[in-house]
Amino acid sequence: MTAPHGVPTFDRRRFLTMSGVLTAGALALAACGGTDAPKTGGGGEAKKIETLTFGITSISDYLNPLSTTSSRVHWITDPVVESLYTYDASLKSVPLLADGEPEISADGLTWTIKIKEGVTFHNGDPLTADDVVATLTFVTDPKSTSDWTAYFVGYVKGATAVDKRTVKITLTAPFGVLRSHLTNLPIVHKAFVSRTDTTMGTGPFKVDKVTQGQQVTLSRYDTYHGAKPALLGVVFQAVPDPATRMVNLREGKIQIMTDVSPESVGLLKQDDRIKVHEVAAPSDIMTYFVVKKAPFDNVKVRQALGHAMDRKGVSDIVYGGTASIAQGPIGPAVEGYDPALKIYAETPDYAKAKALLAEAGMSSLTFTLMITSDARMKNIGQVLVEGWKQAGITCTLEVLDIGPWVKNWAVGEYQMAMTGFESGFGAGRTAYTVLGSLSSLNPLNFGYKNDEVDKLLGEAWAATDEAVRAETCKKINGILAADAILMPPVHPRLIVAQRTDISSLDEKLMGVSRISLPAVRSV
Amino acid sequence: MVMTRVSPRRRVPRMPRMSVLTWTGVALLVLFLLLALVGPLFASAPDARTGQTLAEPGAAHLFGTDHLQRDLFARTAEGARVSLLVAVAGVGFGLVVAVPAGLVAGYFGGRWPDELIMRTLEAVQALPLFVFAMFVIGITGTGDSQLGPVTLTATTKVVLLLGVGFIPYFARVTRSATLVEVQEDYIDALKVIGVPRRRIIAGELLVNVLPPVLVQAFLWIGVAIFAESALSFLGLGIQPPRPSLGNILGDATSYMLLGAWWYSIIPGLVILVATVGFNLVGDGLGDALDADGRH
Repeated sequence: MTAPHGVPTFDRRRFLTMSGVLTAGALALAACGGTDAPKTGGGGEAKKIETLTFGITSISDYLNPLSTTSSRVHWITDPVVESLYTYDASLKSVPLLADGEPEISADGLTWTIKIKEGVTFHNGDPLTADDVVATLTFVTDPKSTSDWTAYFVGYVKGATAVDKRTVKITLTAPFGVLRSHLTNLPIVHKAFVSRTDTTMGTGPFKVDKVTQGQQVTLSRYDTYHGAKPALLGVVFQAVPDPATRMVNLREGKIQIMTDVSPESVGLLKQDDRIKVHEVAAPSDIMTYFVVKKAPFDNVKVRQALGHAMDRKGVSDIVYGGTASIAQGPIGPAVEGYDPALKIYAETPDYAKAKALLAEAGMSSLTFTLMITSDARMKNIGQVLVEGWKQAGITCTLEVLDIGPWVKNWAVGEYQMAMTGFESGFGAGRTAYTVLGSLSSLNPLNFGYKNDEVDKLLGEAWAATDEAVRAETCKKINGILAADAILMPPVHPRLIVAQRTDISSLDEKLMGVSRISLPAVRSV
Repeated sequence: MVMTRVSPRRRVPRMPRMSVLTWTGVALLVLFLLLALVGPLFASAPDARTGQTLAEPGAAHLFGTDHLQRDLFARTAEGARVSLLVAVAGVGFGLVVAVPAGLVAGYFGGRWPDELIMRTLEAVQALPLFVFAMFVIGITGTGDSQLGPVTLTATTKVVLLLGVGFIPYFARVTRSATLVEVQEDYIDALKVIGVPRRRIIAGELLVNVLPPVLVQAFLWIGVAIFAESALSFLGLGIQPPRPSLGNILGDATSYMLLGAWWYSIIPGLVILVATVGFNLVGDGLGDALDADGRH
């Protein structure tokens, strides 16, 4: 059929016919495709890797490690910046930019720290006490809206430079956990503390190029004060889709990927070019109730929810059985974990849940669970909703992007909230991130007040002895589990996959969420 | 005085011989409607767990299972039902607003009520549906929203969004048909004998402009299923765990490269079947109407 001017017409009917034919063709091709068989062995010449490519879910527009404790930012900046103290092979805090142990006054209110000599930033400026003071001043200022503020607020009064190489930190109360915070807090060049586009530190790699939202390129800092890394550079590439990240890893386009979906672990393990690390790390599922409002002001209602929670379902279905069943908020990689604590069964106890609801004077319960929009949270949410349904509990999921989620969470505009968080970069092995908001004085407190918990939290954060702090946190964990406050269904593991043509990543350091890139070399 | 209908009675469209494409459309539509309306009666609960993660289609699970161990036949059937209901409700809402607006605009063709209605609708039409949806969902969230005493669920919001998006199109078709109809002599006759304007519009014009509008609406059900699926795929529509074809497809994308081809292909095919089916049948109905007009 031709139009009067000789131009072929293309009516909707013909379009639909052609669409149908093309779709059928595409489906036939897809059906013939099948899945990529896992590769074993591998042909081709091994190529020395000088620049490593790291596949990451997203590249934040704000590349300032002092603004956030998120691992998405810190995985990128960790090779660039360093802290006063660092973790040794047994995860013990040892001096790095500090020259020796801090001098703590007898009353515990003053910490004096000497700075190591001969350390330079990537622009050649020497590291001085002023840089440490600038960093501490920035993170303790509530106006900076930094995640780090919550780690120091109420305790750190201020920091001053005694001389070029000495910093004095004054506290309002003894704060032994400060050692952990100083082991995690990066020290940034004083001119860069509030910059969001890039950062400058003293680490073995320096930032070369930032393509916002897409890629960050690092290159080796040749005058680094420590052992020189073998790699010449590292490229962090945003690959949001986990399946695409996995394909890129298998094809060698990236050498390391984080946020490996548990479903793909089996497939990756079949490939002898890939090594998968599944490590118990401070990887938390944070759950919150607004305790000052009904129905969760009633402990029996919260307990009912806890007994009807399908923890095993979440572990088996969402995490392929790799996550450990949670009793309280503190997980196995964090100080205060209590493996002996048994309050809730692995599988839901619906009879007990119904009995508790009846004791609370309720025959049913309806509430909204506010979750973040990532696939993992949606999966956990759906498993929980289905489990609760069996106990006559109706839960509606409210799925929000992280921005609105945080906004609602910060002002208590929710009934129950849940998100995932890797707290290793902020709190190390301490339970500070998990428990911090429980203090009735904490600005993020959501209505929970328990004098015993307040007292124990004070003791835990004051303790300089890790064993004492762990024992105190264990007691808090037990109280919270019984009170059904902060009730994660499971404690997930950190799953990282790497190619075997680079040296194995240090699993010990993954225990505090670190990926030891400076130690990586081509093999 | 009792008014009786005075407009010329339109013949019921006589169905011309249906083309192969229309028959194909009917077959696809029947398949889709069977899945959406009868399927859920024979399937297990869409959220029930089977104990098998990502099982391939087979005798036990016709469409396989998903990543949360749920039967995909049950979820696809329920998703098709939800998508169909949302689409029909969205189109229905659009019609309820658009038809009166189009009738009034057409009746007053060229005068200020016509200008006011059509310019307003053009302003609505200028907003792309997905941008508008993102704006509304961004403000109200994906959960339930309170509008005075009324609680709007996520599903209701999708229905309203689709309806609002369709109003300009339906109103335009209604207005066009009305503009032709008001030229007829019987309308002048009704005006001469003093029949109230309201009565002419609601009693006479409405009946005569409805057939082309309904054919258009039928075509748009397919578009609505596609639009609902797209919104849910983006996470702006039906919220989990309630299935819809779009959110099933959205979940499936992460598992395509893990070898779970059925998870993406099957709901994708169902969307294809529904949209093509409604389009082909709507096209056939349009042909029937045209043939009737030619007679």
